[in-house]
Amino acid sequence: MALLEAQNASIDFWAGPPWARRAVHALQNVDLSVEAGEVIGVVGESGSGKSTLGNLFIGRLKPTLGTLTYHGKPLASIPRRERAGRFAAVLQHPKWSLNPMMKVGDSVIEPLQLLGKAGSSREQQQRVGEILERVSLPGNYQYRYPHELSGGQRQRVSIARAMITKPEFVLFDEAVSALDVSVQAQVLNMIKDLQRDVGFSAIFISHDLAATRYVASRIAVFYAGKMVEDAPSGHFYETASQPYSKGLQFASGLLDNPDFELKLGENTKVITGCSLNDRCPLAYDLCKRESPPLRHFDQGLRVACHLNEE
Amino acid sequence: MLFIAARLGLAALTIAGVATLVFFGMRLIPGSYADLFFPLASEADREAISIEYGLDGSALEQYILWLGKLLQGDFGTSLVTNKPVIDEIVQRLPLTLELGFLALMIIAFIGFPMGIISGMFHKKWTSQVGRHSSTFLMSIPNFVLGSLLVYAFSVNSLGLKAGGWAPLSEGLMENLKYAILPAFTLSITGLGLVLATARSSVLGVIGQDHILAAVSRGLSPKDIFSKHIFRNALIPVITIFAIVAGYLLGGTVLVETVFSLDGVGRLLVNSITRRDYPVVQIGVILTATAFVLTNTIADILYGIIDPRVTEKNDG
Amino acid sequence: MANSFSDSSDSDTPTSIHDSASTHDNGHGDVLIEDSGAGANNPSPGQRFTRLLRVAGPTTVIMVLILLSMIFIGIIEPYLAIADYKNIASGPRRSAPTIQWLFGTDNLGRSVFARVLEGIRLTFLLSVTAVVAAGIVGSFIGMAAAWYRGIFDTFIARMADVLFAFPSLIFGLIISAIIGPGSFAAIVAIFFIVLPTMVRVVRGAAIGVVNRDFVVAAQISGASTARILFKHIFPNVASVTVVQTAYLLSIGMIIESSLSFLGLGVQPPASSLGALLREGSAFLNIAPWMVLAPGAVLTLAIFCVNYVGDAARSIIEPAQPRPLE
Ligand SMILES: Nc1ncnc2c1ncn2[C@@H]1O[C@H](COP(=O)(O)OP(=O)(O)OP(=O)(O)O)[C@@H](O)[C@H]1O
Ligand code: SF4
Ligand SMILES: [Mg+2]
Repeated sequence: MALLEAQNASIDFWAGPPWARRAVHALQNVDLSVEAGEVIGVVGESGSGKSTLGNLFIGRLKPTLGTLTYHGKPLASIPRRERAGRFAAVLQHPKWSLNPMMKVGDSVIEPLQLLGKAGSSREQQQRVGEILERVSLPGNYQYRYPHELSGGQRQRVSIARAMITKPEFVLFDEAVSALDVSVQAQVLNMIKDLQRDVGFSAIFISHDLAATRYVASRIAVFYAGKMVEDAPSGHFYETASQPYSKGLQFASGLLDNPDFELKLGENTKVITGCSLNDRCPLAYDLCKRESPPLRHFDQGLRVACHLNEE
Repeated sequence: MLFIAARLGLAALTIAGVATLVFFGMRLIPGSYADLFFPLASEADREAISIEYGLDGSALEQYILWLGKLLQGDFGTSLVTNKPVIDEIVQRLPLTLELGFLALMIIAFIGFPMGIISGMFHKKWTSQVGRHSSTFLMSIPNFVLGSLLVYAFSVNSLGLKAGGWAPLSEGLMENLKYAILPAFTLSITGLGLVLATARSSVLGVIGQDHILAAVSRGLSPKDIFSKHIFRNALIPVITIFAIVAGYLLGGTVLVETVFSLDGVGRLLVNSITRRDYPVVQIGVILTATAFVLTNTIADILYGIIDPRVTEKNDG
Repeated sequence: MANSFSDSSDSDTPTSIHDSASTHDNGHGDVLIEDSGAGANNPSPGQRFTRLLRVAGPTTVIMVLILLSMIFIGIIEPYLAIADYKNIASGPRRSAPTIQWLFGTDNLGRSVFARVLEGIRLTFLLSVTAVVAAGIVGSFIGMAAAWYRGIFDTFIARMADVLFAFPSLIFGLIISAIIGPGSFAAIVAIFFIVLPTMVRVVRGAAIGVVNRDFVVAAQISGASTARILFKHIFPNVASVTVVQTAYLLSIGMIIESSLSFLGLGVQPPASSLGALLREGSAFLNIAPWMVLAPGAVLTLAIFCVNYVGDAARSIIEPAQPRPLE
């Protein structure tokens, strides 16, 4: 049984001032499961619904339609106390990843305290020291305040905090995006090592395809709230078939076929047919009429595009 | 358009809230009108009095009845004088409005220029004086200033009158003799506030790159002032001005007390002690309406000047 | 709050007190931090204090001293020998100020100076109690509104609108008519009059914090709402609360003295500064010191509070303009 599984999940938001409310379909009919120990990379442009997906899997948002199950049971039905320690998140902004008013050590130990397993303050300090060293920071950094650390160091502290309960599932939402490239590589390495040791499952959200390639075993591509491709990492980076996936690869320099240059545009307007049809270089008349279903292929590959039929 | 409608809707809602609050607040005051004015009357007489003045039935029933009449433009009758509430208020309104108007003029023609000047001469003594005097002005309770003026002008009147009133009908000069001191007293807090706001917004504008650029382009100080500084300083001042204007009507209570003036503020105070429910209710609603409307208008104007305001308001 | 004063400037949000450190790369991929102020990373309390004094400037220090001594005198006033001179006929009637009777005596032969000292005490006691209570309750409501949003938030916002629009002195008068004139009525009135401002300001600051990454992370780790509000959000809006409390204190003092001046606050024989002014105004022409002395002291006290509040604001939130409402 999958650790976490979204079935036909949709999430809508209401946006705009009260007198001009409109619905934003941030996530539409998503089927996606995360197996134990699996890291799924989620890519897509800004506003494509990646964070919304992450929030769904972490239980911060409930699906408007469809379900999200954890070990087969709806996640929403599991009380907060039972979820504690099993989930963790490392988010985007190094500046805000840690409570500026709390010492680093207090932030790191908090998840364990919430579980009631932190032990004496001696033990706490020792634990924090160990886990900080695990993320290549000196143990005595626990006595510092976040503003005394650099952005990269703070992200490492966030990772340490996420790891301290040995969680089952970790959400990385643009966890390295704000860091310098050299720091990024170190942090990515660390995440990969930790994943191997701790064995958590993860959703790794990034708009940087090179970063996801490094840590993820599967890649899910989102566009305007829909999953347009879900492919094993190897397949995705070698022979991605979805035109939008190729567009993203071109944009991050992994592909040099200029046919797939993405015209950045608005992707919130309602489009009949394939939601990509106004931007896709390969669009043809069928694309204007019908939305392509997500088709299943070998090795768990799933693609939504009229050009991928058998 | 929708933005304006929404703003007006909110304003109406707020006023309705104030009306409800004042109605039930007044009913919470222990001791009924009959208790207070006919302490020796028999049970039956009291009942009769209650019915006569519409004070029988539960508070909720009275409320619904009152609201219905209010919406039809029936403001009720004073329990004390038996005159229509609206007459009681209209009779005193000119005095209160004039005080408010004069106070606004003082604020606009003294506070605003002083604020601009004190902001323009940054780091010189004018700026420091501006800063401290605005704080000082905001720190004087207006009844303290009023008492001081009443005392000072009783020693040497300089032709001005501290206390009493001459309506405009007796000539402008005569009227101003009486109006100047209370109006100045009323203006004091707003004066400090506008001074401080104008000063800090001028300071904010002066430090900006485009002003520095204009200076380095050799634009004349006069042009820099009129094209950049003045205009930019104006917007926050207008907001504050609306707030101050809204507060003035409610602020006349003390000034009218100190200068023994028979205005709306004093009427309200006296009506509270006399349990004259209808007068208090209408007076409070009118004052609140003035406050809400000035702020709403400022909001709408702001929305027209700066379209971002209309978009910012989601949620 | 330990580090509130350790960095000198940040213009981002009222809550971001710490991020002004400048950074440079040390060549190993790690970025080191250089604190902009003196005292490096961990200034001792002493260093912090001297730095604070330097930033604040001499005038502020003087104001703080005046304020503290007023509060101090207010606290010890009942135990001072001079307190006896509040008794009727302890001196001549309506004596003008002399060396012995510093502020003169009133119509019943009481020392105005002694009464003013008592007045300071009551004025501070009532307004501090009410404003601090409003600060606590208002912080709580403001944070809850920011956290829950939706209907609750809207309801709170509309309630605040109504209280704002209600003429505040009339509100105070009605409150004092309901619960009977006196100190308690004054406290309740001040509480409700300053509460909406507190709620709005704290809500505004908390809105900027509720979706911060560290709050989300704590939530996912299983922290309860109460824990998030008090451990993660409150410390980050506390500076705003403190500054606002200082600012509202002056308003509270004005409301208290206004109510007492109208005879609906503190009742005789106790007297706050406003009540003294009320008593004195009947004798304005024959014994003006009965009005001028408490009036001057009241103004000075409010001025000090405003001044110190402004200074606190400019130290804690350098880039924030003065809150307007
Ligand atoms: N709380 C919200 N209220 C209203 N709309 C929202 C909310 N959260 C997200 N949205 C909308 O949902 C869509 C998807 O947002 P989401 O944050 O999931 O995108 P994203 O892929 O994470 O983008 P980014 O790369 O910029 O983080 C966007 O159009 C966004 O405006
Ligand atoms: S369905 Fe058509 S428009 Fe959509 S991705 Fe495929 S080719 Fe492009
Ligand atoms: Mg996102």
